[in-house]
Amino acid sequence: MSASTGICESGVKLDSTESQSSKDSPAHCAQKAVTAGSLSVRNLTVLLGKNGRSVPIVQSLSFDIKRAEMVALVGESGSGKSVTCRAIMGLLPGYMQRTGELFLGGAEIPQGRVSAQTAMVFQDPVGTLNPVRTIGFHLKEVLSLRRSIRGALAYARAVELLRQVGLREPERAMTLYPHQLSGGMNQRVGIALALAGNPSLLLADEPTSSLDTTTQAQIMDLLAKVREEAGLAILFVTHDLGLVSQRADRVIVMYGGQMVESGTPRDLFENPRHPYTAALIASLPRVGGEHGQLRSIPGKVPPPGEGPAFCRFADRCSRADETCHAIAPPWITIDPNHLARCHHAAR
Amino acid sequence: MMRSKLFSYILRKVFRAVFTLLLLSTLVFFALRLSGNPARILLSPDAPPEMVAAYAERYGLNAPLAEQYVLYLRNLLSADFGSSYINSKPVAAIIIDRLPATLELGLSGIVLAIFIGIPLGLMAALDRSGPIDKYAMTLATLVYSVPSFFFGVLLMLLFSVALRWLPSSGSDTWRNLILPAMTLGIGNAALLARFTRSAVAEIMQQPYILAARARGTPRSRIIVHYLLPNAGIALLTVIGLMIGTTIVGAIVTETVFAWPGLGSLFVSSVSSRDIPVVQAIVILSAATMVTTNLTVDFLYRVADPRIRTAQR
Repeated sequence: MSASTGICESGVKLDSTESQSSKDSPAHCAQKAVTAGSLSVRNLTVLLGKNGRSVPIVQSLSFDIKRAEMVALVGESGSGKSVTCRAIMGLLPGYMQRTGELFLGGAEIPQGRVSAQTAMVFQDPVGTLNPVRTIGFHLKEVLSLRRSIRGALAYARAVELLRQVGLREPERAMTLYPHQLSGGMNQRVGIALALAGNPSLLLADEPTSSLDTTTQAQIMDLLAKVREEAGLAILFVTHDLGLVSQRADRVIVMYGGQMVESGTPRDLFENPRHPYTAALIASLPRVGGEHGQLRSIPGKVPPPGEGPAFCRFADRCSRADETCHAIAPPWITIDPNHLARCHHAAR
Repeated sequence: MMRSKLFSYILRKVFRAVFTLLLLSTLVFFALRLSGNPARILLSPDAPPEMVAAYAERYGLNAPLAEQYVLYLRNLLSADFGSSYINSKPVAAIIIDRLPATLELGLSGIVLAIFIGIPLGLMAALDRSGPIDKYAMTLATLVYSVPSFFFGVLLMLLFSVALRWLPSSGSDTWRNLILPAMTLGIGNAALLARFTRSAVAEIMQQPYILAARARGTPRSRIIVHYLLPNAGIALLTVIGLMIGTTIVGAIVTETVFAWPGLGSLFVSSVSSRDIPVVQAIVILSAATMVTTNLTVDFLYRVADPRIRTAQR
């Protein structure tokens, strides 16, 4: 089959041989041993519907996140980015099923099990906290469950965590209910809760989407800080390409359940090779740019099981030709860290 | 500051409750007198006019309606409900005599409803579209849509007539309580099961449940600390309403099982046109409703910190 199976530098490797088993897979990695605290995703596929007809909503995703690295997963709604997050967390709803392998710190994460090494920060900071329990209850609960710290020690540790995430009066915050804090403050609590379990991987599912711009920047700074301090690997899911341009080490662009391009923010912004990435960048509002309307991508993401089968973007792509509708696009290596999955990526 | 705010809140609520009761008493007074001269209704159609006049005189029915109304209100305030047209006993004494039986039956029914309905609804919600959900909820819908007296008769046929295990009427021993309590409780249990199921199912969709699972919170803890307290807030209203209607509202059940409570008293008083007794029972059941509503309002504050700490 594939002649060369090298070390996955960025988790994404060109595999131009068109074989059945690896036609969707950018990284056909046999390599499983990875450094501690890092995530390896191999051929992650999520199927919707259990028996009978099932349609993939995430298809053969493979990537790695190293310690203290922040990888951004970018895409429109419906691209499968949140489902990817839930699959890694082990919290897929009953009507979804994952295949493929997940490794955290070298150990495999079993199917449907919530990994104690993984924590998650959610989009709706107030809604993700129990409205009838105090902030202190939440923190003490997770400290007890994940670290077996209880009593006065748990209280002290909880206060310390709240201080660490930048809450000004941590002792007072312990006694408050979620609705008594602002969205930004609740998101800080959410991050404190995530850190309480001492995870090695943090999944952040649009953690700043419901916050105003100033608060957004503060939360991003906080995430950068905890990444440095705790050496966390962070998977940052967002639809906001602008937000990740300064913060992420690497960006993975998803479309219709598939990875379409991967590279550093600089690679993507200066040299986008997949037409979808280029369109996303072109749709960003720019200060001092051309006057007139915001540019948008015509059409919308096809629902799972519908739309073009090979290149999922073919229907909306200005460069699409017959090849795009007939043959699955190969991964094209632009440089070892920059890959795009498009027939036209080589130019 | 906080304390005076709470105090004025309570005062406002209590004032509103008293006002509701006053309005209701007024309504009852005029509605019952709209049906004509009670003396004429009470006595047989061919009663001599002298007798009607004597009756009217005796119960103060000759005075202008406004005067009667003022007297009625004054008496109500001193808990004087007048005396029965039938046996001249003070209405308050008649009611106090019947109240324990009604409370016993009503509370048994409610306890039964809560202990069957809530766990059943919870299990159905946790077992979404599984066997418990399918069968129990279909059964609940069926039970709820069947009138309670039909159940009463069914239970009676089975346990009293066919099996001869339990008595079908009276209130001499605790065994007499079982069938009427079941009749009263089962419909409410079905109602509560359905409400619990939808309340819990809605809470299960909340992001904080997913977040709790992501933090590794075990299922039992999620039920106790996340699902039940939050679903309970929604259930408070239903249970409050249920208590209000059940305690004094077991008219059919009490009649079917010859249970000597307020419900059967109400039925006999209506048919014998004993207006003071009917009046008192209606006011009492209204007072029960108002009081349970008031209690539910306060319990909301206890159960939901969002209401408790809201800026008013």
